[in-house]
Amino acid sequence: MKILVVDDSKAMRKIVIRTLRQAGFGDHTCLEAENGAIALDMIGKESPNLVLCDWNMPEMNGEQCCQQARAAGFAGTFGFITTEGTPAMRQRANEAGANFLLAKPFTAEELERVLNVHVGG
Amino acid sequence: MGAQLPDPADISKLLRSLLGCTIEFRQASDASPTWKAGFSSLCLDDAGNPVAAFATNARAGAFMGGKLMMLPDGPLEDAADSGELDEVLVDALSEVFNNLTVPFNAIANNPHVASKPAAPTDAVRSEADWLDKPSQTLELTADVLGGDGRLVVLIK
Repeated sequence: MKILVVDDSKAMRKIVIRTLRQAGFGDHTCLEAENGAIALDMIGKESPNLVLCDWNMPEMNGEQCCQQARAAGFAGTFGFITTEGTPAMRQRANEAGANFLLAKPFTAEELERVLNVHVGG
Repeated sequence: MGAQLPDPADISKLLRSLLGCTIEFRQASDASPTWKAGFSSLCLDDAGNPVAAFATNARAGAFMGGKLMMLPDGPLEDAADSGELDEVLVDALSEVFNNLTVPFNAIANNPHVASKPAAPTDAVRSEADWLDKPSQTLELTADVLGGDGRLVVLIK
């Protein structure tokens, strides 16, 4: 499985990848992008199975990235990992075409639980 | 009415969860100027106006950034003692500040904010002189990396 991790913070991308390992998803190929525009390009070229995306980013935010990826036909799993965990933001994530929103801070157990629901172990 | 400061207990709980440690940041009984030589991040509302700021002294910044990245204490103590945080630590500290917007945004009637990347407070102050005269201040302290770590929340 190909997993694309999208966050403008290099530290956060490393933390997400580390937590993926802790959650039992360490055997998969992880790709990284630092904003939504780069992610959108990589989604088209790399066809990841799973996108884990921040919300607030420069150039193109996560919401726009998700909307445009879905409009372009991306059928993989798209999840947000963000501090924006209010019901209103969850609604917007859902309307953008996301499969889930995991609010920061999160644990490996929480990530494992949500990924097992949406992509299987 | 201006924005409200988050509860110290909510900040401490978030940091324990985020950093995976048992350190408790508690409200300081005194004010320390050390954060003014540390690192800070402005919090902007949805219109891009500064509303608040998070700041740390170098010791707390090294601790929080380093623990987030699971770095060993030795180099973190060196960073804390020298007051110089490398790019990895500052980037990680930015993520800590980003997470600290959660308890701020959870307060009813507070404006929704997003934090800017962390930077030396001297540089941040040059675009936000109100840091020296905030309307409200919450200063937290914890014994970290062999000294007094300070985390400050300021409301414009």
